[in-house]
Amino acid sequence: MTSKFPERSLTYSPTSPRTLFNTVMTVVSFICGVLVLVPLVAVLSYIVIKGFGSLSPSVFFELPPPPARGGGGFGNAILGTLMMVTIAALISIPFGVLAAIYLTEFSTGSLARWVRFATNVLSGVPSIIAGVFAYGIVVLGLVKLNLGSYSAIGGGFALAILMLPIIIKTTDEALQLVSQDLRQASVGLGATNFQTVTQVVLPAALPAIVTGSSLALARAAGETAPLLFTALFSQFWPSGLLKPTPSLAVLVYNFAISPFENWQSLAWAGSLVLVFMVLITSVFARWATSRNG
Amino acid sequence: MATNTTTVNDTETVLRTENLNVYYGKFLALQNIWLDIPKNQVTSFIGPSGCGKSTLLRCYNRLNDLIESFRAEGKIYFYNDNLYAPNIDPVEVRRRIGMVFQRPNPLPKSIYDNITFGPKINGYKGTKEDFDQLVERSLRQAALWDEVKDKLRQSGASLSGGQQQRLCIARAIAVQPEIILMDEPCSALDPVSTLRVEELIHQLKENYTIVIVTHNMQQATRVSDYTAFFNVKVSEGGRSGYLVEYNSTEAIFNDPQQEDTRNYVSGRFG
Repeated sequence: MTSKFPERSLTYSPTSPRTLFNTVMTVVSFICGVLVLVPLVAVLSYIVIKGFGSLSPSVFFELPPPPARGGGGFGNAILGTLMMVTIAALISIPFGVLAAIYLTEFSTGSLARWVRFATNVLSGVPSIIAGVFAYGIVVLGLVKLNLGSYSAIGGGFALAILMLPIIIKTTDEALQLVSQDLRQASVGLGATNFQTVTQVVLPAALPAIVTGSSLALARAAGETAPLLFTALFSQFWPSGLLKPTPSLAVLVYNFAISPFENWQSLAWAGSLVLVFMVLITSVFARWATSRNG
Repeated sequence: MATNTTTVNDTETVLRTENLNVYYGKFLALQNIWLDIPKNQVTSFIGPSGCGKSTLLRCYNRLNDLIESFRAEGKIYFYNDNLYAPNIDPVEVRRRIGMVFQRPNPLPKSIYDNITFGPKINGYKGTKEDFDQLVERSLRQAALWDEVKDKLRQSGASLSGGQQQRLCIARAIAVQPEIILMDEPCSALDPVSTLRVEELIHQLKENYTIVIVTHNMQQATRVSDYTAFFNVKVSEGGRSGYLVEYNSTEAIFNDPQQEDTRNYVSGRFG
């Protein structure tokens, strides 16, 4: 047997071409790993530096001040954002999770293919289109019914449309990762489809579903465009689900482009609060699911 | 309990394990292993689950390096090189000491490419004919050639479980290793396929040293020349495996020196 393998010793040689290439590529991937941290750290630290100075307890509880005056806050916008994100979550999480369960657990063939395709298309739809859609359905609908116009419902609906594809996709993937053995173990004990899904499959996929949902929530909380013409904005406390509702994202947008210094600094503080709300939600979600995992 | 004298014959030793302790984090998985693997012989590792026989097997080609909490103390000499010395290249170790896994794991490539993948990544230079010959020789040695010679371009996954495992053996042979480690290679196979793999092991020991982990004691008696019996000791720190007895397979099964071995091989264990 003539060996056409190159002679190599067992000793590690850092200069052999093969090892060298391996080392170089490892370093390259490490550098890329560090580089992606740079924007994250830069954005966060810039917001903290700019926003922290204008942060005070009053920003959480007071209404926006008139231009060119000190004090005040954006308690109404925090409340408005929470309201609309809650509405969006209440619509999109049940629909999205159930749709994904149908896709992985029960569907066969072409319907699932079309639903997955539609989900992919929907996730690529620009958020402003979702806003226009919600405007057409909810805002104009409310006007027709004489119930109102711009509203928290409209904003929540628009955000729900943006969250839906993310939730369906992450849940779908999480469920597909659940091993087939587990399903067979449950079915083999005489469990119905419902029992298998609710008691075996869903618990196994729960951490991934929660992570996906909190990512979707985070995305929705930061959306501005679809809220501009569904929820509009208001300088006052939200007075009902059918009234124009302020939100942090729109507040940041409005105030950041205003010429007034006090509004600009409130916009920085608003960005900081928004970022931390998102951060706390995802940290809490992970903690809650890892605890019993 | 465990004797320290584990050189059981006078043929050349390829792998000499000296005072090996293996830790996963703080937990001691294998303790105080002294064991010599003879060249061109089949050595089998038997013992109850959790006794560390697979862990030891994976120490021989440094596959355990992929486990983050893994740590080995002691020495394993491959001829004269200590495999755990800092100047050893684990990548090269694994070329010389091949592995066949419990579940057949053909790569998602054609049968032909499954065989040529290893040689290619290891710098094998040759013409198309050289590769064709290499594929044929490897598949013949693995007793698979006649079954697949007309469908070398088909996916490795299209074969039956037993054929896939022989493909994995052919793949391991193709890089011309000196030792082939087998981790329960037949536990996912039917009896007919098992028999074929066992016959194959017999033929392979002409050219290779084979170390095989098995749960099947009949298999150990059928294929191996030497047998090491491992047991597991439960202490306050957890469970750790140790070598109880190592001898020729005949001696282990017919005249074991240790009570534990006697109980295990006669099925009265635990």
